[in-house]
Amino acid sequence: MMPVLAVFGLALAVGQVPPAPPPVFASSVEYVYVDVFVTQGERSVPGLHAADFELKDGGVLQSPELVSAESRPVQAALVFDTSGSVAGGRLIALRSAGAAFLDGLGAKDEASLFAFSEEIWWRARPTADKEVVRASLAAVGAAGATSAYDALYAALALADPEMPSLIALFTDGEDNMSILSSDEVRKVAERSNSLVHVVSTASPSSSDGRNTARVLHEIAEHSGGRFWIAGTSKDLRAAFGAIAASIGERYVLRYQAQGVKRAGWHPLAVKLRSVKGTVRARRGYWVGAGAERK
Amino acid sequence: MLVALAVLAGAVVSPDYEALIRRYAAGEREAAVAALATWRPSELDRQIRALQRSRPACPSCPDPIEDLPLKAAVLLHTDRDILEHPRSQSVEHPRPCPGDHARRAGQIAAVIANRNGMRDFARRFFLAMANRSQWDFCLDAAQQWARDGLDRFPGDPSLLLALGSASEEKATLANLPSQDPRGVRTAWYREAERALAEAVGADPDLFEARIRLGRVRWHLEEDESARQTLEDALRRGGPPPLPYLGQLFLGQALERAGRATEAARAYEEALALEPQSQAAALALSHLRLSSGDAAGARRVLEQALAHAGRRAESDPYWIYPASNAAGAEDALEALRLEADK
Repeated sequence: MMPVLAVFGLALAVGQVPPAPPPVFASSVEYVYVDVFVTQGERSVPGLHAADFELKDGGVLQSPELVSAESRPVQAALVFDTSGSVAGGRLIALRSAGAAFLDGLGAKDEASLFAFSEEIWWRARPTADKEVVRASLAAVGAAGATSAYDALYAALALADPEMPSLIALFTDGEDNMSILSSDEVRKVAERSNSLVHVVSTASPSSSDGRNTARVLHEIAEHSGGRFWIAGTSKDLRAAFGAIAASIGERYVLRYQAQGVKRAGWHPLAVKLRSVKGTVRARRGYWVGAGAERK
Repeated sequence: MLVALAVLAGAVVSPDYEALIRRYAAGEREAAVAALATWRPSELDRQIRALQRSRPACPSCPDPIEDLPLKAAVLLHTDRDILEHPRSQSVEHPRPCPGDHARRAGQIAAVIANRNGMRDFARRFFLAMANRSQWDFCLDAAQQWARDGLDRFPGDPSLLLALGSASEEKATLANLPSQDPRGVRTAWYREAERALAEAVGADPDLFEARIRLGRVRWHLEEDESARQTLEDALRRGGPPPLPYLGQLFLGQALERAGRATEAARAYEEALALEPQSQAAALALSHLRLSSGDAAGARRVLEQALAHAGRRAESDPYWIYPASNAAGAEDALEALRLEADK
């Protein structure tokens, strides 16, 4: 098992701001939301306050406040590789892992399900009714090739810009059918607000010339999510269970960005001031030039 | 000793082996293929060597193997090889590559490639085996079958297409060595480019080779050359679904060259040709998102995903890596029927 960590992404907000994350206006105030996960070893660290965090946006120290995680329900997308290599025991384990993930979501959290081989099948649209997703999960079969990048793109592009988005992708193989390149999907992920977790049977550091796991590892880390290696059915279930659990254990920091240019890339740095622990948050966010306030 | 005696008596191969071949040729395929399993590999290789060495004793002398049903011999070993290496039904499961009986079939095919009246059979056999190997993702074997065919039939457009396509698929999908993977991949694409350019030169109407040549040049990051090659191919026209693939790949060449409007047009054209295409829709969606049109990107994507699980036919892009090889089984069956005659 890899160390348990935090989850979550970030949300800026403003009505129509493609391709950047649509910032959310509260009256005339624009907030940036950053989801932060704090762990010590395998365990998340509870009870922290806003003062325990140091947050820099574009290198400029900000003054975040803590918002309750419950007040910001998540839209979570399960993105499952159902290519031929998953058929059999692995598919059964995957269904079980998906169920564990759904069990861990809050009542107001939404879930959806993408299944992909060469074809991407949006099996369940976002819904707070987890039984709908559970039923879709039970109907998934496995055959065909692997379009992991295309599937991740679809989940990113179809994420509801009004909600915090989490994507939990499983794949057991090398992408061999995507029309989109790894670089294209990486850029989309960097400019989205989605937190991406990847669960894979492959190591990102394998030396056999394969690189899907390495690319997905980079995407996950950049988004503030994690790359989980799940070699067994037990690992698989544990990883998806931990991902779901981390949603409720996250800290949501909110601030009005001060002293930084609005449009463009905003590198983020989140640290703990006087508490020991590992912090995980996305490495930045993007605001498109078209999002300038009038 | 047995072989030597047989040759002295006017025969090239042993009577038992000849009887086995004739049994296959007579239509008792299954029985002959089963019986072949009882032969020692070393003995079979001796029979093949005898065939390879056979020559008319003088310019006007009869060909000592003229009366042997050698087409049947080729297919006899081919079918034994197929029986010993059953195919996996799934795309992503390990697949068997040709074994020793396939090698022997190739050796006999090389013998008959020099015989009038059987040359085209040999050519089609090498092509079928190259395609069958590619379909089974045995890409090294596919390249070797194509090269073996080209050794006997230099400049043959179909074999060049087979070599080019197998090399392209290998560069795109095969595992790369950990040392200099980029350099190795480029070298494989270059090999594909050479073969496909030669195929186009040999047969200007070979539309698939033109599309693949454009795609390979795009992989080599020669976007302008790729664009020209694909536009030229599309101007010439071709059977479906190749124009769809041409438009899809042209869109990607244009997009990377920063010509977003033209790229969008190409993707839209591809979608018009294959309205249920997922690949063209994804490419168009991504282009729209990159251009700042998130709602448009989402709309295109949602429309495309609505076809999932309900497609009458697969997106041709999914078949593309080995689409040239799809007819390998039919080609082999045609050769079997020919061998019976």
